Amino acid sequence: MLHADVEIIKAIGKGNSVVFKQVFISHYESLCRYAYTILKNAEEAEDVVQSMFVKIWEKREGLEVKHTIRSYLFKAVYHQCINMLEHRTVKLKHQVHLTHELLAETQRPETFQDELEENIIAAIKTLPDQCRIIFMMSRYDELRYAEIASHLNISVNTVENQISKALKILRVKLKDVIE
Amino acid sequence: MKNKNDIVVDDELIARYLCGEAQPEEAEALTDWLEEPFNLAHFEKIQATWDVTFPSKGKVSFDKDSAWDALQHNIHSPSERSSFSLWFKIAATLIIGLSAGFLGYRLFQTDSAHSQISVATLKNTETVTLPDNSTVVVNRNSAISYLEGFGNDSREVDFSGEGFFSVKGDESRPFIVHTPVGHVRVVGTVFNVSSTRSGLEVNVQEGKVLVYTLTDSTYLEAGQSASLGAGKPINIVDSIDANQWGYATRKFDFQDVPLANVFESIEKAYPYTIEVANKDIKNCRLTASFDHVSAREMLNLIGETLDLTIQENDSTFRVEGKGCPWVQ
Repeated sequence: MLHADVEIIKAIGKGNSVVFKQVFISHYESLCRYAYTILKNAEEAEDVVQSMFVKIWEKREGLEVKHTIRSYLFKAVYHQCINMLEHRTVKLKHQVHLTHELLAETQRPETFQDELEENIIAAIKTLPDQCRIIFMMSRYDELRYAEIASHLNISVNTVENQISKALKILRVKLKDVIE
Repeated sequence: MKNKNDIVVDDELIARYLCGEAQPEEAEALTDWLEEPFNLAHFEKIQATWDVTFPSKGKVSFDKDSAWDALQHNIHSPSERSSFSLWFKIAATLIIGLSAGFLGYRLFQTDSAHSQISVATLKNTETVTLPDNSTVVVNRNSAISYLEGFGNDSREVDFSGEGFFSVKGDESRPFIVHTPVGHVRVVGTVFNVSSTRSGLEVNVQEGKVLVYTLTDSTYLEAGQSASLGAGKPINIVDSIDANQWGYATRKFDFQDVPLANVFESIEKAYPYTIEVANKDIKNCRLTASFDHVSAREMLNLIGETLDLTIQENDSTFRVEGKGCPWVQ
C-alpha cells in the first residue's frame, strides 16, 4: 500500500474530515461515472457513491484498506452496483426482432425524438445483422454481456468483439454528427 | 501506459467500460489512463459515438461540490427515522441544560477544537441564537444542528421540522440551511423553513434566498414561497400567508378569513387543539389583527366578535355557538 495512503487512512480513522473531504473530492466524479456505466442511471450512481462514503465515515475507526484507497473505492462501488442490479425489478425487455424493420418501428419512441436523428438510425441499420442486434441489445435493452450471450447462444467474447466493431463502424459513419 | 496490474487500455476495454462491463481494476486503470490529454481525447470520441446512439439519454455530469454538501448533511443528520430516537438516547447521558420541552446537548466531538451543537424541541417553541447572532425560532418537534462557532467560510446548519430564520448579513460567510430534501442559501434575510423527510417549503419575508437541490435551484424573493418534493422540480408561489409563521412572529392578520383557517393557524402556532361543537362555526369569517396575544385571549376575542362561547380544558379549547351559513 502506498505510504501516503497509510497516512490518509490513519487520519480518517481519527476523524479528520478535511482529509476525508480530499479523498471524496478527488474520486467522486470518476467513481460516479463508473457507477453510471453499470447502473445506467445518474441518480442511482450518485446514491451508490454517496452512501458508500457515508458508510466509510461511519465506520472510519475500523477502516481497513488492503491495497490502495483508489482500488478499494472502485471495488466497493462495483460490488454495490452489481448488488443493485441483481435486486432491480426485472424490466419488461423488448423482444429483439431479427429484421431490418426494427428501427423503423416505433418500438422505442422515447429513444429518438427528432427526425434529424434519422441518420443515426440509418447508420445503425448499416451494421451487419448479428453486430447490430448485439449492439442494440446492449445499448437499448441494457442487457449485460452474459445475458446477451445466453440469449443468442454465443460466447461472451463474441459479444465483446461485436460491440467493439459496432462502435468502430458507427464512429466513422457518424463522424459529422459527433463533430 | 501500463499500470501496476499490467492492464492494457485499448478500444475493447473502453467499449466494455461504456457498456458497464468493466471490472473495478479495469475502471481504475482507465481512470488513470485518462489523465493523459491525448488518451482523454481518444476516449471522448468513442464515448461521443456511444452517447449519440441514445440521444434522449443525454450527457451526464456529476457535481462534486454540491455532492459534498449533500454528504455533509447525510453525515451530520442521521435519517429522520432514527434521528429523534438517537437524540433521546444521547440526551439521557449528555444533557446540558434542560427545561420542559427543550433539549440541548453536544454531539460529534471532532478532532478540531469545535464540536457540533444540536437542539431539538418537543412541545415548545424555542428561540435559538446562533454563533453569528442570527436567530431561529424553532417550532415544536423540530431540530437544528450546527458547528460551534460556525466556520470561516460559511455558516451552515442542518435542519428538520419548522423554523423561522432571521439571518444577519455577512457577505463573507453565506448562511446555508441543509434539509433532507433541499438547501437554502442566504447572505442575510428573514425566511421560514418547513422541512420533512420528503418535502421542503421555504417562505421569504425579507431579502432573497437561493433554494437548491442536486438537480434544481431557484431564487426566492420577499413575498414568494417555494415547495419541493424529492426529485421534483421546485414550485414557486407568489403569495405568502404570513399567519403560517405566527408561531415565531406572534403576529396574525386575518382579513375575512373563515374560522376553519383561523383555527388552523392558531393550532399551528400554539400547542393547543381547537374543537368546534357545530361545523357551521367554521364558516364564520373573521377580520382581526393580533400582535403578541395569547391563544386564550385570541379565542375569547373571536368568541365575543362572532357570538361564540369558548371553554378551556387542559390543552383543548371548545368552541360553541350557532355558527354561520356556508357562503362561497
